[in-house]
Formats: sequence, structure tokens, C-alpha cells
Amino acid sequence: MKLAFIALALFAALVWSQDVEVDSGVTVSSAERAIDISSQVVKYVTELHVENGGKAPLNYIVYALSANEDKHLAFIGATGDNKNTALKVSRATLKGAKSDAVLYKIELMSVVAVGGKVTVKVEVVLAQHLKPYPSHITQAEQQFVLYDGNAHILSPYIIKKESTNIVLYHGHVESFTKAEPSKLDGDKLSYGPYENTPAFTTKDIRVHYENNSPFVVITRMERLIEVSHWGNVAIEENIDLLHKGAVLKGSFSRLDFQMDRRGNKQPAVKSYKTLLPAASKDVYYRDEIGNISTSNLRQTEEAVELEIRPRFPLYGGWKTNYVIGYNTPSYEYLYSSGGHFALRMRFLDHVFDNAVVEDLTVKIILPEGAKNIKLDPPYKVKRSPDELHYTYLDTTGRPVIIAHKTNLVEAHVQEFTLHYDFDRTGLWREPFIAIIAFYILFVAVIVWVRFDFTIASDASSESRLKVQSLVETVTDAHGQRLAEYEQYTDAVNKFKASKDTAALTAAKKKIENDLKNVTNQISDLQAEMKASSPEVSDKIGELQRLDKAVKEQLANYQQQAERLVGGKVQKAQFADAEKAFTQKMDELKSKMDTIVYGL
Amino acid sequence: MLDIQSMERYVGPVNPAVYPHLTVVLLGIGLFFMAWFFVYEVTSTKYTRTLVKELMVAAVAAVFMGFGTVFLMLWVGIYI
Repeated sequence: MKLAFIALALFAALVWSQDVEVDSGVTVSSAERAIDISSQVVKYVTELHVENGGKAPLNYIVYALSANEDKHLAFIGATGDNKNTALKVSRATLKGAKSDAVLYKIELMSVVAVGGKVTVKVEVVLAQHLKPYPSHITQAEQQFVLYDGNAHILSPYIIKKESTNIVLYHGHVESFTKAEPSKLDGDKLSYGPYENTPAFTTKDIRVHYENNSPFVVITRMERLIEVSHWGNVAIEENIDLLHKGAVLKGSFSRLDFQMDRRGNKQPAVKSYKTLLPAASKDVYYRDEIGNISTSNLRQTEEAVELEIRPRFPLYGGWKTNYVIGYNTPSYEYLYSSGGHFALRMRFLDHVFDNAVVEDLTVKIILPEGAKNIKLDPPYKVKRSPDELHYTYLDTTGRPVIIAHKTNLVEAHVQEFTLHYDFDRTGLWREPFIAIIAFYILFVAVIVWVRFDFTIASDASSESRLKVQSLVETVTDAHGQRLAEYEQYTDAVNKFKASKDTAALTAAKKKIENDLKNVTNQISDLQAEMKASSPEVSDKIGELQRLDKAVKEQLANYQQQAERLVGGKVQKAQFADAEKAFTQKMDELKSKMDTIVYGL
Repeated sequence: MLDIQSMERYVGPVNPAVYPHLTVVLLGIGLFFMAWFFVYEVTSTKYTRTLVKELMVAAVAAVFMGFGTVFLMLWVGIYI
């Protein structure tokens, strides 16, 4: 009963947690804010030292952003005393708040008791918050932008002491709103320190300064991750770029561009560096026309640096599109345990420093037959229904997991985990399909050659073919017979040395049997051919006669050998006989060969 | 759901370093048998050919060509 009550209370707390309360006793003893507007994104790092002077323990604090800032918010994150664990940040509303500020509730790791202190560091990244002003410039002009902000740290708490430091682009500052004490020093602008700022104090400031850093926005990016269980993870990124800085006015002069002495400080993007994973290989960089050769690849310890050089420099309002892809070995990202697999890799990877991605689609292609797929994203993403992808040697298609997210910055370079089950033997399906394909081809050929496409049957050629096939068989049989003769001779020679009568008898029996079979076969063929081609039949008859002569010779030779072994003939005498035998055999064999080749 | 820390890193069943060798050897053997098969098919007449021999040579050729093709694809970077 008690447990149920606690569970209910917890549930209620979760549901209504979005409504926050601000205790007037809680104050910020000191706060420092660092604003970086040297690139196209605006980065706030605010360190708040919060003191709980209220009546109740504190388990969350509230952070505020102006409505204008919130409109451009890409990322918000917070860390507490432990710098490595991120605190949970969620949008919240404050009852009876007069300000139009948007509030974020930052849940602390541990409860701060009454009188206690806590330090929280809040990181905010705003994308497309800086406005080019003038909005159109010529090729020779510099790009100036406007930053709209607040001299004070917007907070629902009273801030006892605060200061703000702004880092500008290294260049000319046209103007900035003064809010004493404020000071411009080179490319650093500071506001404050201010003391005892009431809650929700706003003092609008505007900085108009030179900013020639690339204002290139990735308007669309499709990241394709293809997992192969042969040990590879292939990544391909299709990127649409648009320079969202001051739009180029007038014509573009290639000559002026080449002769421009501002170097990297001109408001055009000539090249930038993309960091690929250290193990990546087979990197390609191309667009619709084909390979873009103006790029450099450099291998370093931590990453592969790819210097991307678009086909043309990107001026304000210009856009381009390209594809980069690479392979990485699977052991970098894929983990397994039996038939269970987990893929852990970055949802968004580095494209260039301070990048802004408006729309990202991540597609993960898993091997055919992957089941029980579960995506664990690092932040909230929108899932589309899974699709099927067909590529080489596929049958049922590969499952594709699709996830979308809009408005991303570098802080979103975080890892997702994708769990799935895959039967390891499924890997052999692909070679099996290839084998089946080849076999089907061969069987088709086997069937094809069995078709008869002749219009009229030709009896003479038919019978010629038949005789030819029979002759072929005779030739084969003759070859076999020759081998048998050889074996016979060898057996006798062996006997001469070993004097083993039993072995000779056994060998002879076997060879004679084989010879009989072959001879019978040839006789049968001879009979078969008698009707269709008597000439050939006669020739085969002659062959058979010669065979008889050979057999006689062989028997004779064996007799001689036996006599030699028995000591009935002298060695010299035997040698003569052997010579005569060899001569006779060669003669007979050559005669037989002549007949066979003449068939 | 299993914790990723307790899982081991996945390595493919065949070392990529031997893809070229496997391709050359398997395709070499496969092409030999395929050539034999086709030569046999075009030179044999309906009186001389034997189905069993054809099917056997075709089977051997298909197995080697199949594996050879797969490794060729892996070698050239088509990770199927």
C-alpha cells in the first residue's frame, strides 16, 4: 500500500515536473558567462554558483533564455560538480512568470541542502542567430554581422555578481551597445561585473562586427551506414551546403578571387577540413558530375583529415552538393555476443568546425535477416518506418533504420547504439546465392545443347557422328589397353628382380582380366559398326589381331623371365630376348597407333 | 538488453588481407572448370556426352566461381 503510494507520488512528480518553482531565497552568488561569436554559431558557457538560501532543499535549478535566443537554440547541456556526467535538461514553465523568457529545468545530481552551494555549468549553442549586415556585399567587401544579446545573464534568480566576456572574430568592430562597465579590448568585449542584478533583468545589446568565418550551413545531410558482417562498416554522407552569410552582390570575378590578398579572411569558403575516423580507408569524394580531385587526405594519429575543396569557392548565397564515403573495419563499431550484435557509432560526425546541420537523416542498413532491432539514440530523434534496401546478392532485402533530427551543431556529435539479432550462418547465404546462379547458368547450357535445332534431319551426318563417337570409345579403349600392356611388362620386370612368383601370378591375373574386358568392349564396338561402316570395322578387326600378337609377345617375355629366374637361361641370352621383345613390342604398338589414328 | 561493455568486438570471418589470394585461387580454379565445362559442351555430340559428367563439372565450377565472385566483390570494396 505504502509502496503503491510512493510509486503514485513519483509518477505524479514525473508528470508535473515541467512546472517549476523558484524559491526567492535561492540566489546566484556569482556567475560568469563566456560568449563565443567568432564563428557562425553562438556559444554560451555560463558558470553559475548557486546558493540555497531558501527554506527547502534544492534538487533542480532553472536556466533562462530569451525568446529570440530560444528560437535559434540548437543545443543545451549542463554539467554539475562532476564534469563528466551531463545533467538532465528539460523545458519548463514557471507559474506566474511575467517575463517572456523560456525556462529550462536542470536537474541536479544531488540535493542541495538549505544553506548549501552548487556550481552548474550550462552550455548553449545557438545556430543562425548572427545576422549578416549588410545582407548583400560585393566580392571585395568584408562580411559584417549583428549579434543581439543581453548584457546580463537572464535568470529567475537574483545574481549577486556577474560578468560577461564576448569573443569576437579577429577584425573590425563597427559598433557595440555600451552598458557600463563595458569594455572593448581587441577582439574581446566585456560587460560587467554587475552586482545584485534582479531576476529577469534585460539590457539589450547589439554588436556589429566583422566576421569572415565560413557561414556555411548544411541544409540537408543524409548519413548512410551500411553494416556488412564480412567485417566492414561503410559510411556515405550526402551533403547539401549553402553559404548563409552576406549574399554576393554583383558579378564574380575569378581573377579578383585569385588575386585576393585577404587569404582565408575573405568571406568565401575555399576549403575546409573534415575529420574522418582514424581507421577509415577507401575514401571517396564526388558529386553528380563525378570525382572531385581537388582534395587532400592526411593520416594522423586520431583521425584521417580530409581537406574538402568544393568545385568552386562558396560565396554568400551559393550552394553545392557532394558525397563523401569511406570504409571502416567492423571491430571499431560493431560488438557481438553470440547471435546478438550492437552497433555503436556517431549519429552525426564532424563535417567542418562549427558546422550547423539543418536537417539530418541517418539511415542504417543492417545485413539481411537482422531481427529485433532496437535503436538507442543519444538525444531525441524522429524515427521513420523501417524500409528495405536491395543490393548485391539480396533476396528478402536488408532492413533500413531511419532516424531524423533537425538543427544540429557540433555538440550533437554523440554516439547511438543499435541492438539487433543476426544468425551468423546467414552470412553464407551470399556465396550460396552466387553458386546457385552459376549452377543455373550451367544447367541452362546443358539443357540448351540438348535441343535439336536442325530443320531437316541429315541421316548421313547423323551416322557419321555416331561412328565418330564409337571411334572415340575405341580410341579410349585402345589407350587403356596400351596401359595394360605396360603394366604387364612392369610386373614381369619386377618379378625378375623380386623372384616373387605369387605376386606375378596375382598381377597377371588382374591384368589379363582387365585386358579381356577391354578387348571384349572393342569387339562389341566392332560388331556394332559392321553395318554402318564396314571399313572402320575391318580396321578394328586388324587392331584386334595385332592385340593377339602383343599378348603372345608378352606371354613369351614372361616365359623367358621365368626361365631366367629358374636359372635355365644365361643373362646374356635373356638380354637378347629382351631386346627382341622390346623391338617387337614397339613395332606392334606403332602399327596399332597407325590404325587408331587412321580411324 | 545486453550491456555493450560485456560484448566482444566483431571481426569478420575472413581476414581482408587474404581476399586477393582467395579471389585469384578460387576464380582460377573456377574458370578452369568452367572452361572445361564449356569446351565439353561444344565439342561433345549427343552420342558422346554424359549427363553425370556435365553436372559434376558444372557443380565444381559453380562452387569455385561462386566463392571466387564473392571474394572478388569483397576485394574490390563491395561489402555485401
